[in-house]
Amino acid sequence: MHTNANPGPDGRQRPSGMLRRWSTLLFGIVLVWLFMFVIAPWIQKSPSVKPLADFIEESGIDASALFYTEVEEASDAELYMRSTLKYGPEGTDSP
Amino acid sequence: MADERNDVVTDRAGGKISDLWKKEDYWAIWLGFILLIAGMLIYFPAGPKGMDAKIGKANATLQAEAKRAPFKTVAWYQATDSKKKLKATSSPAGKKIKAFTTKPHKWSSNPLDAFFMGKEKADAKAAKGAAKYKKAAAADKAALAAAMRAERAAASKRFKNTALNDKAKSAIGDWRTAHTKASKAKKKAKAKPYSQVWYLIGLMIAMGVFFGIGSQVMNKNMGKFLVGFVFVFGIAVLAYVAASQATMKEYGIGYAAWAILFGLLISNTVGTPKWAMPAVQTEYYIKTGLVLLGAEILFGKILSIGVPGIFVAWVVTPIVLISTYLFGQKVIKIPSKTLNITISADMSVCGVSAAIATAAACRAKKEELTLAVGLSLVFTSVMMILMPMFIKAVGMPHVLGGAWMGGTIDATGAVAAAGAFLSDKALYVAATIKMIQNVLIGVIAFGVAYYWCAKIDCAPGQKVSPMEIWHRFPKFVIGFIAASIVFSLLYQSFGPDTGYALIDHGAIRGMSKIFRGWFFVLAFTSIGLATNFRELAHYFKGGKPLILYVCGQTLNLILTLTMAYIMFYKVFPEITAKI
Repeated sequence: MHTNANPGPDGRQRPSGMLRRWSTLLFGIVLVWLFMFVIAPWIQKSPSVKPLADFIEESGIDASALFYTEVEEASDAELYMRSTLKYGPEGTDSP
Repeated sequence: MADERNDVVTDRAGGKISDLWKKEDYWAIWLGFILLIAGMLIYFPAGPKGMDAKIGKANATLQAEAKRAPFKTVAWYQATDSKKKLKATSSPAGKKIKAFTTKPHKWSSNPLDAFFMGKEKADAKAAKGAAKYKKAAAADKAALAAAMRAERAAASKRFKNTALNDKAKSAIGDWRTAHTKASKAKKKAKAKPYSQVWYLIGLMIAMGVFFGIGSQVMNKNMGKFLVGFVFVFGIAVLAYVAASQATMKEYGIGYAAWAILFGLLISNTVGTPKWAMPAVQTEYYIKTGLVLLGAEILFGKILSIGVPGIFVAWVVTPIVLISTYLFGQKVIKIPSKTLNITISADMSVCGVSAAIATAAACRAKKEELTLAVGLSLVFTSVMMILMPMFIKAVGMPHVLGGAWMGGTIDATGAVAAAGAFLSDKALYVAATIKMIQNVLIGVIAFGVAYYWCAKIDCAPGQKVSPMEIWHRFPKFVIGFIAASIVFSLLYQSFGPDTGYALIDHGAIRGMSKIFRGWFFVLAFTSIGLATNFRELAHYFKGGKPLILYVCGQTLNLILTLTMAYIMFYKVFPEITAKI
């Protein structure tokens, strides 16, 4: 019925094997849950990580974005840089 | 010659006319271009009302203010902000497309919040946000008033008094910080109820049929594909749900990692159901996503930060890429050239997106792409935390720090977070350098595809004819490059301001980006569902990929910092002064 999981010699999944596989899956899910809700938040409390984590939460920046088109701030940055290079201040403050 | 191996990211294209409808590479091009053409048809006529007049007015203000004062005035920033609002994605059609294709929403402790939020909860969230916004808006208003007062004082001395000018610059800087905070707070105060489930079901059917038609024409059974697609799409949605969890977002652990992990977890425990396998089509999804990605590679953007940006992103990056590849071959002796180039590109260019494009271009194995993606995600999170800390600790100028982070941290989101954490200036430089580096993917993918066809995939001493190179060349790369050229030309012909409104914030962010994200998550889910843990461990033997990444990244850090310093502080200090 399934790929990758090793079947018994007759090609069928044995009940004990199935139980072990489902238990492993459940164990994996528990590990993911532990990482997401226990380990990761605990690490975030450390003084070196907390300021950045709080900042990301506050600013709403998507730190997981892969490409520039997925980041709103990249678009703002480009617009700002373009305006700066084309219309950068030309005046001088020297008396 | 078709490549029958199932563990390769792409297959080979042949030389028959029927390849145009029988091969995945061509289907990726057709499907990708259908979406891109749809994007152009929808968004190009949907420019905001009075767009040209508004752009003209903003540019006239910018020009006048640039001549009036020796620093960026309040009016200068307001003119730039007014251009920011001009987006074709704000049109009714754009809003509908967004609603239909939206990924699961952000959530903290209840995963159901990813799909559904009732009016009561949304109102409570909005009320909480409104209180913060009220405070932030008041601070913004006060900072603006102070900035205008300081600017007027400087203007009264015709901008000849350095102390008054400095005071005005500082007050304007404070206002910009307050303004950014208020803008972010405003978004949080706008929480509305949503129910994403029906949209997701609709999207699943639409995408299933979209890919299913191609499957049917390629002599695969569309019905079986559709049945399997429900499973693959379901896991992909779960990956997006995990990536949308608040803490995971803060760590920058995105959908790619979760899709691979969930796929691996299923395939290596209970096994991927056989009925789902017809829809486990990594290459099909990845190639179509890459054709869409091509449209996002706009060559006109490489001059966004002037010549220094070209040197930091387009000179250092290829040097690091080639050096790391050669180091992997000659010193570490990585057994697989495809693994070597995928990790080298992933580390030197821009992480996961570069890994996908390079792996597909050189026909890397799924396990190799998985490994490269895993390394990138881990180091991105670590560097995103450590680099701003280091820059702050040593008191490095923020333009230099921004350029350094933009050139070395893999993923754009992490670059933006680390840059913004330092200052607006660091964010602007970091994000722009990264964007220019993103554009390099097009050249790298084409170069790698050509090099592999002409030099690597042939017998020692064999000379490959141009025709043979054409036969071997992964055809979807042609679609990828064609999309990039077409959109780059359109962007140039529109000009940057209209291009920003209709292409950047129209066909790209309103169409290409959305579907490319969905196709990549389907691809990563498929990789996980078809990968065996033991095979994956085999590729990591001896820790060579890790050594390669660390050595390459060390070189990247040194060269990028050196080049950024030379360019921004020695060769072009006038550009740095303007930023």
